[in-house]
Amino acid sequence: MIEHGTPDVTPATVDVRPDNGSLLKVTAVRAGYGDSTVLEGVSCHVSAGEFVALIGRNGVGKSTLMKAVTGRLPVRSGAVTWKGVNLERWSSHRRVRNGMRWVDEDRGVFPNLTVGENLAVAGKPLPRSLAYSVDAIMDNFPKLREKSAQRAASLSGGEQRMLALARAIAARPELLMLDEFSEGLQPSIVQELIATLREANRDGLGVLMVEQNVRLAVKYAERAYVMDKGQIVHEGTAQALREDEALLQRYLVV
Amino acid sequence: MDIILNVTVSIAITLLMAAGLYIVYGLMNVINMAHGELLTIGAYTVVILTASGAPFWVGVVAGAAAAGVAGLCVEALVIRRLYSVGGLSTLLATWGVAIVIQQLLRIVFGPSAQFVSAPVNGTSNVLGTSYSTYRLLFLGAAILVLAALTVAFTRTSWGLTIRATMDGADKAEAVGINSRRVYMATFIVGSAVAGLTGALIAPLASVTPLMGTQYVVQAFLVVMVGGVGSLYAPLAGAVLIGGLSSLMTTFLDATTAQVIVLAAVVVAIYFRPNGLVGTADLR
Ligand SMILES: Nc1ncnc2c1ncn2[C@@H]1O[C@H](COP(=O)(O)OP(=O)(O)OP(=O)(O)O)[C@@H](O)[C@H]1O
Ligand SMILES: [Mg+2]
Repeated sequence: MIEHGTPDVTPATVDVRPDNGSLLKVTAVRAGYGDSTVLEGVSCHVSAGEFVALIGRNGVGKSTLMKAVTGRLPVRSGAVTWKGVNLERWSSHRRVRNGMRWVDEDRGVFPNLTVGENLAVAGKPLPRSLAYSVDAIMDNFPKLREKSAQRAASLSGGEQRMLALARAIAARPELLMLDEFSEGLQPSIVQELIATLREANRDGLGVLMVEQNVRLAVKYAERAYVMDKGQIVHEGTAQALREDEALLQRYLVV
Repeated sequence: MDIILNVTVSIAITLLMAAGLYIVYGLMNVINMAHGELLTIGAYTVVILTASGAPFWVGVVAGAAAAGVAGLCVEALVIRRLYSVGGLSTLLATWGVAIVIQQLLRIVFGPSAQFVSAPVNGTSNVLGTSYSTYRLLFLGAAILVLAALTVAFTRTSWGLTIRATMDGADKAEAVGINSRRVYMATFIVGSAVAGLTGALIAPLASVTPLMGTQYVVQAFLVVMVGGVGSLYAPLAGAVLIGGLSSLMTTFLDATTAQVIVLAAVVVAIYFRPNGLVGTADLR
């Protein structure tokens, strides 16, 4: 294992869970765009059923880490492993079929497909154990049924995120990664969607929540990572982070 | 009546020719300069098979298959390597492929024209006028193929997967769709449709290694004028280009007709830069 680039920052708290249960394990990952390196040796992990927050200011590399983990940005050194398997050379769709899911900042709905088609197409390519029924989703999200014949582009931002979340959870992934999920949404809608997310989490869904909205993230997460300038600068329980005003000031509050 | 039939057949030919190009461009953003040569491959397949005694329609199916296989090779050997680079490089690379195919055909079959006789001869009576039976069959086949493509695209789960990938390969991958495979399948289908068109055109044309180039220009114009993003886009383009040129050649000499059609294209693109119907930005 390549060890260079590992941040020389000591975690404030020792990891509370043993590593062997890790679903996703990121080890000393370096990645970037063109000549620039954004991730300077990032290590983190999410265990099965865990709710983890990844927080940090604008432009520190959170979305870049998501791209590296989901197979859209090559990992230059270090490794991303999924249930112990190194994902090097795994295409994104293969990761999805093996139980990984994500909702990007741009929500990832298909704008020119109808709501119903958006749900149908996202369930189809999956192995049988992950496949779902569109009808069952619509039972849980009456609003989506109401608008099922509408183009997804005509939905509001909140509805699009509901659509993205609904179809992601319906596929019963083992890990769901959400990038800036609360951005631009009314608090009431965020509450509603988070409730859905937490229910799935209680049923065993692992969650990695990438957020600028620190208060939201640490409120629901068990564990949190703080990122700054392409490195993980803090790791600990969400509770400890909630109480650590100095740390919040230093890395998070703008 | 004669004019109406001529115009209709011309629109059908133009639309069928543009269909494969449109599928590939609309989905993959790849301007396939070798489209005309895939059409030529379909035509030569019919030449070979009918010369060796096979029925014409067997030749048509084989023509589509041969072009599909050629398309598979082009995708796997050239285009796949250029997805990340995009636009201009795929255009140049497929142009290179076009020239290679032309020269190969020339080496194998020689530069001179070959002819295929139509599976049916003579004329049929359509509402009082007599019209070439083969052209009527061609029209029927074209409508059948286009209808099948439309249904597949809008009503089947295969079409749904393609439309999703058209909305963004990244998004498609994020729901578990193998976008590379969708690209490949789409390119094969687009190529097969080109081959089918070439096979159907063979009895109406002289089959030469360069025949594709003369048809492909029209197909490009259809895609440009119609735009992308709607199934009606190529239809609009084909009506303008195929329809107008057929209409004009009825009254004027071929050169003047061509000039008028090109003028209409320029005007259409000037006023509707995203296409007559299309929504997506082409340029
Ligand atoms: N496609 C790209 N090409 C080049 N540089 C990029 C690209 N995407 C992001 N960057 C750069 O990488 C750095 C990290 O960006 P990233 O999007 O990962 O940050 P982030 O933590 O997600 O920020 P935000 O909270 O604003 O979403 C930034 O400096 C950004 O300018
Ligand atoms: Mg981001």
